[in-house]
Amino acid sequence: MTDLAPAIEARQLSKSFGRTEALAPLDLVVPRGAIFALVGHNGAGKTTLMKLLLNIIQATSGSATILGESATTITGSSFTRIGYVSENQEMPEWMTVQGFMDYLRPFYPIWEDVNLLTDLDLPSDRRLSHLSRGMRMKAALASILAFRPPLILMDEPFSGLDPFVRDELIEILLHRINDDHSSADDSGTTILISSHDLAEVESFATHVAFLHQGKLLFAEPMAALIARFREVTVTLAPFAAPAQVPLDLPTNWLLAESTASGLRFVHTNAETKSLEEQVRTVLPNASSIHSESMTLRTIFLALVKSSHAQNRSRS
Amino acid sequence: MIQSLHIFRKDARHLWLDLALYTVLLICFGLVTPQVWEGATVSNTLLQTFATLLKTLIPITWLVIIARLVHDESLVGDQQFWITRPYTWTSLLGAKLFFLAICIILPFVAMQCFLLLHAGLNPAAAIPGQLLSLLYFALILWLPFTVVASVTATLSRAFMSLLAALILWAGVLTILGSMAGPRMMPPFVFEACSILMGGLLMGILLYQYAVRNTARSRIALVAISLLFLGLFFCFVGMYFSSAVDILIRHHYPVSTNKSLRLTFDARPPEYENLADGATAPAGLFTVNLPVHFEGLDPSARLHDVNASFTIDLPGYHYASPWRPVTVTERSLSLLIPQDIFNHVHGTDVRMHLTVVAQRLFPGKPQIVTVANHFSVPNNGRCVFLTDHAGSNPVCRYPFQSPPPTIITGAVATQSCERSGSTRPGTATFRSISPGTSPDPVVHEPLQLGGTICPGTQLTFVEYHLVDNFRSEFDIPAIILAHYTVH
Repeated sequence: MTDLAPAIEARQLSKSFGRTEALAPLDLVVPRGAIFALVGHNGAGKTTLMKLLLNIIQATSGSATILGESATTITGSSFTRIGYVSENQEMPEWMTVQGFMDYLRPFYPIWEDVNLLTDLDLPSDRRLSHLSRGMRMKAALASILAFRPPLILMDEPFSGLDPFVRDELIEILLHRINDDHSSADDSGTTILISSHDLAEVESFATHVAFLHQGKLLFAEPMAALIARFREVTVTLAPFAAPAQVPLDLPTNWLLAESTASGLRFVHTNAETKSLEEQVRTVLPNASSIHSESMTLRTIFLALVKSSHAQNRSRS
Repeated sequence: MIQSLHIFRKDARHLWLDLALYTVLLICFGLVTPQVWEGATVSNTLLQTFATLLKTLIPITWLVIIARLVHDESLVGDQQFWITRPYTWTSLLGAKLFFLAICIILPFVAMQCFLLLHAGLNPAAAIPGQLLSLLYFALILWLPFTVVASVTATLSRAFMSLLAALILWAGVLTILGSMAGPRMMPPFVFEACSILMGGLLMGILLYQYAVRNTARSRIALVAISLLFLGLFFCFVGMYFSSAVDILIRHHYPVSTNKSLRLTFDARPPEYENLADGATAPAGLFTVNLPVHFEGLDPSARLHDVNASFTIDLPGYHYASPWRPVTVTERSLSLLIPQDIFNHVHGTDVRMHLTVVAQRLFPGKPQIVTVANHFSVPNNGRCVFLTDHAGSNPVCRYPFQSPPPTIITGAVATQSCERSGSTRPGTATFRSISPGTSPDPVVHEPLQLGGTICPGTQLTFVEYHLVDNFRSEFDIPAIILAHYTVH
């Protein structure tokens, strides 16, 4: 299956609204079968990127392909292969859950909703307008899973949901897409998911991309990212040097701060070369070097804080 | 097609309550309207008010249903569920237009057919008039409503947008219209504007459904409104006078009948005959010139007479727009702006007059015997509505009255029960085009200047267009003040 085009491929894709650059030119490749998490704070450009990919809005420059098809040519029929769920999606509120599913069924060549509503614990006869936020999201997800699309885009699906519903959604989603590995093609279902819930995303995403103020800071496999980022604490030899942050630290050391006994920082490239060797090159008087792995949440926070610090120093 | 039908079924399910209310409204209108027809026995003010209310409610209901129908798959915004579903825009638009045809137009047509049948008229014979009437409704209401709904997100916004447009249009047209006074509509302009307006609106609708670029569609909609207001302004301001002149002169060629010409009677004017009691629009003066047509076949009638004239003095020239004129056997009434009249009224001026008209010739007379209900030419039906002695029948026609018709017959000078003397009576029906009233029945009271009794034979003579012609006339010296209407 290596000759298959990536599920999503963007080249120098950008979007401006007037003079405001919502998304700086970015390159992004989402491999088939990946669960690709798009993280970033509010206004980072996650929703804009998804809408560009789905041809809901038009790019200012650059190009993108979705399942091998140019994003600009995506029209109605393309959505038999692409599912989209968004926290703000306007639904036909007057329909019941079952009515909504029944209405959508004839639009798709494949429709398998046996036990889907039961599995998602959805009341089939209740109107969409009478559903809670979590239930609405489940109904939206059900309407996507039923036609087994090879690509699902989810824009903040967990926003505002309680942990139980969140877990339930993820469980159903993973269960269904695992079932799909034996269907259409053996690369399985690709998911691009934007989320604030980093802990949840970390538990199941295979890849992660970080958008910050419209710029893509990185996009890589989750395992590589976790390996790359480490929180490092350096203890300096007593009386060897004053306990303050040296001015010429490497650029891949973020949020460096002095401690009583030395220095603490986040290393963004810890796996490339021996960590101890790198630290000793910069801080020859280091007596001990301790490093810890970071969670996606701590990596995210470190990057945001670092960015804010850089902005402050520039201004 | 299958997707269109699927969407149509969904819309019908969603809007069933709206459609039920619309059906009730049409049924009420169908039942109440005959009660307020001319000469109806049970008509009263309350019923009249109710009928007027129903007539107003029908277009409002159309707006509500059309807006809700279009907004079910709103084209404004990027959060709607359907835009990331396998909809095709052609199916979606097809479904909406199909709904419009089946759920809005069809019940309306059924109600109109019911009214025609109630009036004793044959709906099958009225199909051309009905189609023309539906075309007007489509151009004036259904299409604009659909386009406005396609560029708005909510019913209230659609309503407010239409209200604002209506106020703007009505205001501007009223102001410009009152400034300009009555004007002749150049030939083909109505048809051309209708096609242009309909085409542009349909273009916006197709574009919005195909591309969903609301900003551009809104700009286009505003641009079309401004374009038409601009065209009207230019027409009123005579910026197109040369083109209008060419068009009218082309459509009304100089008569080939050499004996047909305008003649100026230079005798001193008889003021008592000139005052016709007609009030000229504000800012205009009526001048009654002793000009008449000579050589016109005695059986022919002139219809839709309009004129343009120029006034020349040394160092002064005025060219009037084309306006309707009133023609009598011995005179021709013109409208002249007050400031122009003030400038030239007391002096000898040279005047060049161009009159255009349609010449109508009588068709074959058709004799009809009066009864309680009796059919008349052109799918009409006349009926005595009350038992009151001395009442005259009312003739009803589907959608439009017949071509200009002269009706003659003997009328009783007293009531029909008394065997009194009779005298010849005459009535004239003028042609009324199909309009945009939900009521398809046009009423023409048959008044021959006396009592029409059952059994009387009436002669209907319809006048048909033979040709359009133009006649020009030069008056070397005339003092307009001598011919003003007091």
